Formats: sequence, structure tokens, C-alpha cells
Amino acid sequence: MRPFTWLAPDTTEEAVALLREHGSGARVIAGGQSLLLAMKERTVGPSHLVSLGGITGLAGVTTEPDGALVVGAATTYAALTRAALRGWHGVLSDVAGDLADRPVRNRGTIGGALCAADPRFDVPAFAVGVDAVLRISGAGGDRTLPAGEFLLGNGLTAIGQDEILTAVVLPPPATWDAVVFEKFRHRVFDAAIVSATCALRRGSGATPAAVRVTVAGATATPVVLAVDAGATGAHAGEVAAASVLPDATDEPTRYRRELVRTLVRRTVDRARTQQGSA
Amino acid sequence: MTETQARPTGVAPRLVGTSVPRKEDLALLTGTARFVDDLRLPGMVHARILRSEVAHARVRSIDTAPALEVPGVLDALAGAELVGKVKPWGDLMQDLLVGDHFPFATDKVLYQGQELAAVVAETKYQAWDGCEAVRVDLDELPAVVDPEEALAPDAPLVQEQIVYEFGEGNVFDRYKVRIGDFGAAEAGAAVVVRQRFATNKQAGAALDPHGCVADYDSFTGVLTLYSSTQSIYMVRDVLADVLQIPRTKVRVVVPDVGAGFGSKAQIFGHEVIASLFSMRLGRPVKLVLSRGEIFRSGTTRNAQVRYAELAMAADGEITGYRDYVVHNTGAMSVWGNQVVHIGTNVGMLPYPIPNIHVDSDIVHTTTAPGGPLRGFGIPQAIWAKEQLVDMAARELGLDPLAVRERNVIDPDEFPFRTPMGHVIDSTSIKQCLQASAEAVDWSAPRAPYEGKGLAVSMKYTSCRHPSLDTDLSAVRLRLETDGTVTIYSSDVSHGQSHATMLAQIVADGIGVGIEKVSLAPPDSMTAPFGLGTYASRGAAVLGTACRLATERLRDKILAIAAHVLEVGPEDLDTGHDRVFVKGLPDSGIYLEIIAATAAYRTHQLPPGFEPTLETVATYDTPTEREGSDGSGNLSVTYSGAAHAAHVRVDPDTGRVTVVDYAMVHDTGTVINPLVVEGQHHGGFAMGLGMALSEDYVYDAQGRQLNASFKDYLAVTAPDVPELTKTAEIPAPSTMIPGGQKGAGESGTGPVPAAIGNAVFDATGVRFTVLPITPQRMLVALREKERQGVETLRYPDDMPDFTGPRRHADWPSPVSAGADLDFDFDWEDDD
Amino acid sequence: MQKVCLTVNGREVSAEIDERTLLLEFVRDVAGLTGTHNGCLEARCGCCVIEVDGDVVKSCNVLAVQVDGAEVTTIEGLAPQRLAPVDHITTQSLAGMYRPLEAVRGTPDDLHPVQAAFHRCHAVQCGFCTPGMVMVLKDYLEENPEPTRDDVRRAIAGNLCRCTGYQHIVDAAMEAAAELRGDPAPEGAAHGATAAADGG
Ligand SMILES: Cc1cc2nc3c(=O)[nH]c(=O)nc-3n(C[C@H](O)[C@H](O)[C@H](O)COP(=O)(O)OP(=O)(O)OC[C@H]3O[C@@H](n4cnc5c(N)ncnc54)[C@H](O)[C@@H]3O)c2cc1C
Ligand code: FES
Ligand code: FES
Repeated sequence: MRPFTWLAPDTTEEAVALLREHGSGARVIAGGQSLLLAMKERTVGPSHLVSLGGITGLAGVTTEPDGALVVGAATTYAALTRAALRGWHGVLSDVAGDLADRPVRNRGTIGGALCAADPRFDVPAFAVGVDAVLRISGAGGDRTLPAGEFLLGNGLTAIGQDEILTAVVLPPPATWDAVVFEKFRHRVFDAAIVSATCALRRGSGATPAAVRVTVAGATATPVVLAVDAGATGAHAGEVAAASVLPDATDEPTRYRRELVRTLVRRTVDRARTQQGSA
Repeated sequence: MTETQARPTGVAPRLVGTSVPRKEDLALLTGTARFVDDLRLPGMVHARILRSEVAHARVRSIDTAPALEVPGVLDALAGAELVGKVKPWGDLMQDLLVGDHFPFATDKVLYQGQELAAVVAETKYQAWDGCEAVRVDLDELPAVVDPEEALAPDAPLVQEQIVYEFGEGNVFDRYKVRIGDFGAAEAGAAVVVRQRFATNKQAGAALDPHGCVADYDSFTGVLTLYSSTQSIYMVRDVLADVLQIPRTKVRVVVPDVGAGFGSKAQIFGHEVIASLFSMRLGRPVKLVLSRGEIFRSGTTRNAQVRYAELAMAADGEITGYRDYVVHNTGAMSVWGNQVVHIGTNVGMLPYPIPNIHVDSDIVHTTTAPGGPLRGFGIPQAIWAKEQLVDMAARELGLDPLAVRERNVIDPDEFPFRTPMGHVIDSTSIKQCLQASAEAVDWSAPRAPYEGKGLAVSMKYTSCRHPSLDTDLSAVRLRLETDGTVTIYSSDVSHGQSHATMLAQIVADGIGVGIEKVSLAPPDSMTAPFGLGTYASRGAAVLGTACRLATERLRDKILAIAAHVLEVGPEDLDTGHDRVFVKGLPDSGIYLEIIAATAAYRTHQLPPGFEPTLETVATYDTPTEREGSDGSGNLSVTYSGAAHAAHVRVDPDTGRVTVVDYAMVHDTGTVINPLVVEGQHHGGFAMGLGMALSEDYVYDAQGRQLNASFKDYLAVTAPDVPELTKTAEIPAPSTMIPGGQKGAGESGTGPVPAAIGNAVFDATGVRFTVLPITPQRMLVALREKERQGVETLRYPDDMPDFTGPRRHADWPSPVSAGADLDFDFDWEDDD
Repeated sequence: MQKVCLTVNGREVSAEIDERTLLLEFVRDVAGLTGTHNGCLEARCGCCVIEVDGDVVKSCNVLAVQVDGAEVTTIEGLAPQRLAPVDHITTQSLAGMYRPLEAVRGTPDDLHPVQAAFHRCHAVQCGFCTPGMVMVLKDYLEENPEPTRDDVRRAIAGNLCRCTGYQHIVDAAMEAAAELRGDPAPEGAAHGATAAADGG
């Protein structure tokens, strides 16, 4: 690690001001689970660390009048796992409870995972999968961005140097009737090689009104697929396999393509079963 | 706590054979155990090594001067200034003849992670700052990662400086076995199966990092090295030689060691570097390696390519085995050639194969040094041979179980000598085989994508290494003047439970309570000379030395007691801390009285009795040196392992899950059943990693892509099946007085082959490379569907496979066609 | 430099430290408790797990400044220390009657149930992973008193052990869970039967 100055603001505004004041050397630290790994290896060496740990109100889960779920950026995985969330919002608890291990989940935050923007992390994939919206505070004021527009590449996001992600907003429960997330990883403790999310809204008949299928892990950012609302899992799997990384022929990519097919098939089938369109 | 209990009398129940909970545990469970990183000496400073980022390069210059400007930095070193001052070292097996090791790269970098320079500073951060200031100018050269490519005449030459006695180019050494006549076996066989197999480069990845604290006393000239190592004397003798100081001025002390598995069975550059710094500064220097450094510069299981052939008669008798082994020993030769000798010699078991023809080229590549790792080459040999047995059985329409039952050693009389020269003093391998197959319900029909596989192996229990003509361990015992016992040994325990196992032997031998027996920490200043802990030799070799020392101590104790009680020693027995007259358990003298007599009341000793109660015993096994045809009995006895795997393959993700696993072992007389079971479980897990997930991944420039626990897929708890079917069928050794056999490594040998055979049974895909990852499994299944075939070899039948697919295209050994000058005493039959 | 004050195993430890100091380093170098181990520094091996305000963390991946003011429990805090008692000395022992050493050394009885089960089940080989394993399992079993064996395996998925193959660790966790629940010890328990020969 390289030397740095430790800054522990009490409010988001103060944190933003500190980021602005110290410029490009300043970095936000939430749980530190990703950032410290890089700092220990000296692959990053911030001059100032602005901690979110002391900011009240940045952690925790609240519900908007329309039922949208507002998850504070500094909410830990462990807190999410324990939160009693209703309907498909509960899938976020399951996702948060089935990654890394307890010690990491006790420190790692949902906002940190999004800002780290690692293609293999689960929360960014899930956030795009259910079409979540992110709230961002900066010196210039507050703004919101859909998760899909926030993630720009491996480790790259749309957040400015002096901005802070404050919350992740999951759309109201009525937006989806079923949400299914599946991933494949070597060991329980590993990040996903490929994950798939299927969010589905019931139609009047047997065919769903809307299906959103998102694939992550194989590409730098999650990919939302154009899938027919009536498509079966098998069909959606074929579409997905054909559209994600279609050209590469090396073995690792061929393998990922097979996983995409499998996971999309499984998530779509499960989602259809859950909401009764199977 | 204060009440007085009458002390029990008579003969105590024997402890050998019972699962005595370990004496080691309390310190380890409560955090008071001291590992090397836990040591803090007054004035201690911290060193760090700057390692090469590239694998193969010419060194233009390395300038440490800027490092000395960095605040806190005390000293810096690089290779050039040490040339001519520090003696190169090498393979201990070669009596230090092969000096391919030096603290730092001098002219050339040979692998990523090799030492370029080192810095010592007041703090760890400052040492790192100092390393960053060192100016390095390297001229990168092409790397050679693949051992077969290293054999090509135009391959980049790895070791340029060393003139090898038996090798040339990238061939460091050659090895041959010529037993019987394989050609005749081939001609007469009903079937000869042939397959190219490749194995992986597996890390020991002991959790306790390699590291040391060197502490040089500039007034006495004594260099004390606290090191996380498996052998104090190998480290001491090489270190003294490298620094050219007397053995008595080097003291190696070993704190608790968080495992080794073979990966700490030698001296490393960091031990020399820390010593040099301490000698230059006169201060204690700590140097503990990071996980990434250990991956890149520690030793690994030698990867091999084996062109293996097995001849079988129509009735299933194995009549011959031929193999050409390209053995990747990495950039340096540490123990490298020994692994192929012993792995092949012992790897022929448990079959008495009459005709064996093996050639091996032991090659250098620009990868991390190869070395010993749990199994010492045997898992690699078994991976090839046990799959060939299945392949041959299938070709002949025979049951793989029946074929093995027919072939495993099951003589009418022991000792039984195999054509390879192993002297089998006892074995229950056939019963183990049958029991393991039964435990997984071998004959039951398989569900789709499920399969079962068998593999059997035998493991040496000690080893007379071909170029190191010794196989000894020693123990000194002292009955202290309060009736407690101290055991001294140089064989470091790093998980093997020596403190408990040896105490069980001593307690039974002299009737002392086990709580009164302690094992002294290994210290070259006080311990008797022994080779160290490796080769599954603890229980059998060290245990026998301990038994001999105990018997000597008992004789002395009885001599004093007989004198005092005025009876003959043959009338006495021991138990519950006392010596008593047989039949009169309430009589007798406490050991503390006898011990005090021997030290403080010497006038009361029998006439001519040499005072104090201290005995020492050294046990060297009655093993043979390797013969010129490769034969020989290198181990004093052999443990047996029969494994049966039941796997399930997910055809959608390629994941191979071991759903059931039976291990039935012959470890001879078991001293502590729970400890032995634990060794088998751990051995299995290491085999499982070799089979399914662990490997070094290099890019074409020789840079390791997975030098962390994030990317190196070490086995975790959910990956391991319930190991409830672990059983012993003991066939006590008749060579070892206590009957015990080695336990440490026999759990590893058969695992990859048993799983490989089960995967074939489940899917029709024959894996010829390791590990069997989900990726490889799934693409193989898809290719098999595409080709519409019943069976497929991975990777041999994949479209992008570039190696030789057919036997006709196989390479011939470089050594076979080589100048016979090198083969001065081989009896060559081809 | 930054002042950090932690309560470590009930003892207040405060120091001016380099901001870079990891919680692991604070515990080992400042508080002087080396039972918490560094096996990777990559948050991957679990050897460094300790409790911070009741929650387990990988102390190699937390800065000490991040948890200023917290209550920390390390492996050293699980079992009472055996401070050299002299009450084993009795008239008899002064008169030369030999006292078993157990009396001075503490016995496995006063260990935490997870530690004691590790001892009985031979879940410790080299012992380097042990402190982290024990800390994770203690925390896990407090929240999940009735786990299956598979649950236990997943609970320790972020703790590597290269020695044991995990089998005896899972055995120990199951025995400890039963003991923590207050279940009567099963007849001829898997490993309990061997305790008679306990030499400590
Ligand atoms: C051993 C291990 C295993 C893991 N396994 C998994 C896994 O299986 N699946 C998975 O999805 N993830 C996994 N993770 C990653 C984990 O999800 C992230 O490390 C963690 O969630 C990041 O959160 P944090 O609060 O610790 O972020 P930090 O490390 O504190 O920050 C990460 C980055 O985001 C920035 N940042 C953080 N918060 C904000 C904010 N509010 N506003 C602006 N910028 C911010 C920081 O500046 C930094 O660049 C694993 C991590 C570890 C250490
Ligand atoms: S040292 Fe912290 S997880 Fe390995
Ligand atoms: S006991 Fe050695 S790592 Fe677990």
C-alpha cells in the first residue's frame, strides 16, 4: 500500500466536497473489499481515501410510495440478506446472500459492487436485469441513471470523479411478476463466469406481456437480449447463445456460450413457471 | 484441583492403536502457536525481494543504488556483487554438483518470479518502496513453457551455464528402466493400449507462507535461521555451504510450520538472502513471502507428458508397460529428476509387471521450479497406468475390477519381490480393492451421466533416493528428573502429529503417562541428525527410531529399578509412571525417583551404570540403491490404496461432481486411527484438486496468469464429497518393528485416475490431460455429439489438438537416440 | 498517522498508527496477538478471520481506521486464558507426592465448544487455518444452530484448508452445533469415544 490521508466525512455533501477538493487522487472507500485488494498490490494508490462508513443515511433500505425499493449504496450484503423484502425484491436478498462468504458480505456494499463494475459481479448484473435506477450525488447536484447506462466497461462507470452513488432503486413490485437469477461459478466462493437474469411480466393469456433477459460475465458489461415475450427457455437460450460473443471460436468463449445457453434456458423456464405461463 | 488422587497402578492400556487426541492442538486452537511470521526479535528489520515480471530475459543491469536513497532502507543486494562470494547450490540429490541456484539472477532470468534484487528496511512498506526504486534493465527472450517444445533443437535454451553430466540442451537428466523384454510382451499380447497423457503443474499452496527470520550474532559468528521448512539439516548444510561457514555456526530452528506437502523440502533463495542481510547488518531480518511470490517462485508438482503403453493378455494379465516420459522440472532442477525415478519405480505397483521399458527426458522450461509434492511422481504415473488398465479391460470386454483383482500383488508368500525389485513385506491391496468397489456398489447399473471408476496404487513409506544413499531418522530421549520425557528429533512436524504419535510410542514403551511426554522444537543445535519430514516416512522411519530409543531407555530404567528392588530386570514391568515387579502392581518405584537417582544420586546406581537417562537411536532403512536397469527396492515397506469414485457430470455446464468416494487403505499397524484417517482425507483433497481444478496457467511469454488464491482453484469444502467410506485393512509391515506404514501420501495417488475412469464411464470421454475442468468437459461433450461417436478422447480428438494423435506420430525419446557416451552403465536392449 | 482505539478481547488497545495499517496488522503487531494469521492477504484463505462488533470479517481486507472504536474478538478471546495458577500445589505435592501436569496446564474442557470439537474430531492438522475456521464457524453456528453438513461446507467456502480435506472440520462443526444447542451427547459419538485416552 502507498501512503494516503484518511478522511471520514459525516454527510454526502461533505464527502462530495472532499472529493472535489482533493481531485483525481481522492477515492471513495465503502467496505473496501475491492479497493483494498488493489491498494495492497499497489496497483492503485489513492492520495486520499474518503470513507462512506460514517455517513448516516447511506446504508439501509426504504420503500417509496409507489413501492420502489431504495437501497442505500453503503448497505452491506449482510444487511440485504437479513432484510425482509417482499415479492421479487427478495431475490436481491438471495443474490446478496449467495456470493463471496460471510466475512466479505459483512463488509462489501451494493454500491461498491456497482462502482467496481467487475463484469463477473452479481449485483451489477441483477441491477441491469431488473432495470434498476441509480441515484448519484455530485457537486453539480443529483442525477439518476438506469443501471444499464451506468456500467460502461470492465471497471468503468459513468460516475464522475467527484460524484457518489447514493442509492440503487429497484422498480416497484408490480413491474415484474417473476424475477429469476442464476449463475455458474467454479467454486461457491468464486465470482460468476456467466450469470443470467430473467424478469418477466404476466400477460392476459399464457404469453407474458414482457420478458427481459440479461446476460453477464461473458462480456464487459451486462447484455440485455432481444427475446420474444412468448419464447420458451430453450428458444431464449438459443437466441442468447447466438447473440453473445457470436464469432469467437476459442475454447473459453465456446464454453461461455454454452453456459449462456444453459443459464438463459433455466432462468426463462423458471420465471415462466413461477408466474404461470409455462 | 487440589484433591489427592491415588495414582493408578499396574500396566496402563496401550496407546498405540488408539485415537489419542493430539498434544499439538491446544496451542493451535487458542492462537498461542508460533509460526514464522509470528516471531518478533529485538531490532528486527524487514526484507523484500524484487522479482522478475518476465519469464526469460538477459540481464543488462540491475542497479540497487537508488534503493539506498529511500527513507528507511538499510541495505540492498543484487546478483552481480555476490558472484564469487556466495557458492551456487542445487539439487541436494546430486551432492550439490548441479549449482543452478543462486540468490539472484545474474546473467539471465529463467522464470517469472526469479529473484532480481532485495532490499531490507526498517518497515515492510519501506522495503517495498526500496524495491520499486531498484533500476532493472532486462532484455526479454522467448519463453518456453511446453516441455515437449523445450526438446526441439531450436527451442530457447533455458540453462546456459550448467554443464550437465547426463543431459544436453534443455535436457537436464535422463532416466531409463529396462526390466524383462517389453518387445516380446507386445508381440504376445492380446491387446496393447497406447495413449499420450499429460499432467498438470499443481501447487502445494501450504497456507503458512514460506518465510524466515535470520539472526546473525556478529560477536559469536552464529547465524540462527528460524524458517518454515520441512528439514532442518538439509537447510543447515546447504546454507553453511553456500555461505562457506562451519556447520556449527549455522543453527536452524523451526517454529510451528503450517504445512508443506513437499513444497518446503529444500532450501530457498529467501533463506539465503535473509541470512546475507543479517550478516551484513548484524540485525535480525524477517523475510516472509507473499502468496503471489510463493505461487511464482515456490516449487510445484512436476508436470509430465507420458506416452504410455500397456500390454495385456486375453485373460487380463498385464504383461508389459512402456512409457516415454517428458518430465517438466521447470527452470531449475530441485529434486526434479528424483520425482520421475521414484514416481515410475513405485508407480508400477501394485502390479508385478514382468516387462517394463521406460525412457524419460527431464527437461527445463522457463516456468516455476518443479519439485516434490504429495505423492512424489506417483499420482502422475498412476494417472496414466490406471487409465490404460481400464482401456485395455474395455477392449477385451473384461470388467476393470476383475482385471485389477487378477493383477494386484497377492502372493502365497511374503516377502514377495516384484520384477521391478520392490520387496513387498505384506499387503492387503486385493482386499482393499474389493472393499472399495463394494463400497460404491460397483456392479449396480449407472444412471445417465453418472459413472464409477477404480484405481489402485501403492506408496513408498520411506525412500532411498537414487542419488542420496541414505534413508535415516533419529530420536534422542531424555527421562527428566521429575519423570517427564523430552523427545528430540530433527524431523519437523507440520501437521503430521509427531508430538502425539511419538509420545504414544514412548508412553507405551516405558509406561509413562502421555501427558508427561513432550517433543522439543526442531533445532539443529540440539536435535540428532535426521533427514526431515517427507516421503511419508514419519511413522515408519522416525517412529522406528523412536521405538529403538525407547527400548534403550527402558533397558536403562529397568536396570536401575532391578538394582534398587534387588530383582532381575526380566521380572519387572512398567505402567502408570512406575516400574513394578510383575504380579505386584502396587509395588514399585516411580519413574521420577529412578530419573532423579540417575542424575542426582549416582552413588545408588548399579555398578558401572553410566549416569543420566538419555538414549539416542538412528534408524536407516534396509533399502536398496537403484540398479542400473532402474530396478530396486527403494522403500522399506509399501502402503496400499484402493479408491473407487462415483461421479456425476452435468451435461449442461460440464461440472463434474464426485458424489461418492471410497478409499480403502493398508497403512499397516495404525498408531493413531483418527490421525491416519485425517491424512487420507487431506491426501484425497490434494488429489481432487489435481483431478478437477488446480493447475498453473501460463501465457505464451511464460507469465503465470493465476498466481493468487482468487484464480488458482484450490479445493474448498463444498467441492469435497463426504468421505465417510474411508477404511483400513491393515497388513502390518514385517520390516518395521511396529508394523506401521506411511500414511501421508497414499491418499493422493489414485485420485485423478479413479475420477478419470469414472468420468469416462459417465460420458464416454477419456480425459488424457489434467485437470478435468467444466470447460474441458463441456466442450468435449459437444464435440462428441457433433462427431456422433460413442467415445472421444480429450483433447486428442478435438479439432484444434496439435499434438500427435496416432501412435505412429509419437516422438521417440531424445535419450534413446542419444550418444551412448551418456549411458556408461545402462544395459540397453534396443 | 491516525489514532485508532479498539477493544480487543475486552482490553482497550489504542495507538497512533500509519493509516495503511490493516486490521490484521493492528491485531498482530499493535495488540500483539498473533493467533490471527496471514495466509494470503487477498481475502481468499480465511486464516485472518476475526469478529468486529459481533460480525466476522477478513481482517486482511479491512483498514484499522475503518473500524476505529470497535469491539474486536480474536481466537485468543474465545477460551479463558490459563494464567499460571499456583493452587495445584498442595501439602502432598510439597511433600513430594507427584501431581499430574493437567492441573497446571488447563484442559480441553474450558475451550469454546467449537475449539473443543476441533480437538476431539482431529479437525486440526498443521493448524494454520484453524483460528479462522473456528471464528467463522462460531459466528455461523450462533446464527444457524441447526445446519446440515452441506450448510457447514458452504459456510466455510471462503476458508481454505490444505491439510484435512475438510471432513473432520465438518464433523467438528456438527458436534459443536449439537453441543451449542444443548443436545445430549449421542451414544458413542463419532469421536467422543476416544476421549478416554485423552492425553491433552
Ligand atoms: C474474496 C472476495 C470474493 C468476492 N466474491 C464475489 C462474488 O462471488 N460475487 C460478487 O458479485 N462479488 C464478489 N466480490 C466482490 C464484492 O462484491 C465487492 O468487493 C464489494 O461488494 C465491493 O463493495 P465495497 O463496499 O467493499 O467496495 P469498495 O472496495 O469500498 O469500493 C469499490 C470501488 O467502488 C468505489 N465506490 C464504492 N462505493 C462507492 C459509492 N457509493 N460511490 C462512488 N464510488 C464508490 C470505490 O472508490 C472503489 O473504486 C468478492 C470480493 C471479495 C474480496
Ligand atoms: S489472510 Fe485474509 S483471507 Fe487470507
Ligand atoms: S490444518 Fe493445515 S491448513 Fe488446515
